[in-house]
Amino acid sequence: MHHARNIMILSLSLLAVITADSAKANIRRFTYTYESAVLPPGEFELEPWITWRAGRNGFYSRFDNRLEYEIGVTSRLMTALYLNWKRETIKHPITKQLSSISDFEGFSSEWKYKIFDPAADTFGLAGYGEIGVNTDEAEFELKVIMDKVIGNTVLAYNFILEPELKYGAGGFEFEEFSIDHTAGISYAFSPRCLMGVEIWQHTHTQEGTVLHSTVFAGPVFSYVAGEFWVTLTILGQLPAIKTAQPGADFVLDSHEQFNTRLLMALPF
Amino acid sequence: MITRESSVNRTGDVTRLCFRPLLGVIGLLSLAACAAHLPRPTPTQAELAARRWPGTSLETLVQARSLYAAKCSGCHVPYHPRKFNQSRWKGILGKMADRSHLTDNEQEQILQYLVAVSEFPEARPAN
Repeated sequence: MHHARNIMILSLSLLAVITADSAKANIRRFTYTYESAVLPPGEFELEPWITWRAGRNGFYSRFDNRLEYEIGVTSRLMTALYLNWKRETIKHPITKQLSSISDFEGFSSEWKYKIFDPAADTFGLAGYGEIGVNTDEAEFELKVIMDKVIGNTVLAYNFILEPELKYGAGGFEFEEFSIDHTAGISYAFSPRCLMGVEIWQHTHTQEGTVLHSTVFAGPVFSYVAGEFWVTLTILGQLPAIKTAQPGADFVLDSHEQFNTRLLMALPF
Repeated sequence: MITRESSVNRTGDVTRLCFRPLLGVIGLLSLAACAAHLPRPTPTQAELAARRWPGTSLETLVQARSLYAAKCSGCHVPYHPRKFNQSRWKGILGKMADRSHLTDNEQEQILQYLVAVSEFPEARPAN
């Protein structure tokens, strides 16, 4: 499994280096919230993602890693291919022993279509679809992306629907459904340094009932140098809007106290 | 057993938690959406631009504005036209031409738009 994954990452990196003369930097000011901008046609960008999630009931630490290869298709349409894997460490509640697993989580295909431009039009608007496939499950993600440029400030908002299908005895079966809102505001203090705030509300539903609804918020920082950029968001969980356990303030059985995400564009 | 009442409550729960924030954000964006970041050229600016660059019209300036947004916003927020003067813009466009695949003609068109909306008055002063 590890060998196959390494070969895939190496192949993708080599492909990027071979076609490096048309690499572009499409700065992302947020890591949980998408913006409506698309890569110019024929351009590409390689973006590694690292998400660190920590602090559930008991010891919990996890890395969600993604390697994204973005391609500009037309002046309004872009696509991207992701390779996904994770490493997770938990403490056994009785033996207190730490155990870790690493897992390849399949690949995803993203498509984004820009309808309005945030600079040329009164606000930016884009539609986004992503399908994630693994050997035993399939995930879909649909987003409406809105953003607005006001001088050195960028506002962005995403409405996200995420149904998940699991492979069972009767084929793929609908398993769960989540509805998310993400929003961010980022201010450019200089062309190189940007800072802001990002908020993420995650609501998990099953058969039309809300199981829990959590809110995360925290600062976001970006640094840009030529075609290189890096963006970091540090989110902390706020008291939940709704929890599955009565009396609990936070959702810590399936979510973490902290979510930190780093995105960067690789210069080559 | 799912009664009609509990079903209604469930729907209300999902609506309250999931869709109300969406309405709030749309409202905020509507308020913020009073003007586009890039100014639209006016007929007066087009008229003055035509004197400096014969053949320029309101239509070509509008096209240049779209071109500027399309070529530049893929990588960064396009700078406001008033941020630089004509000579700085000329240098910036020359520097970015390779990265943005801008032809000489496209550079000239974008420069005309940037100068027209930043240096020319939006309307003639009233007599």
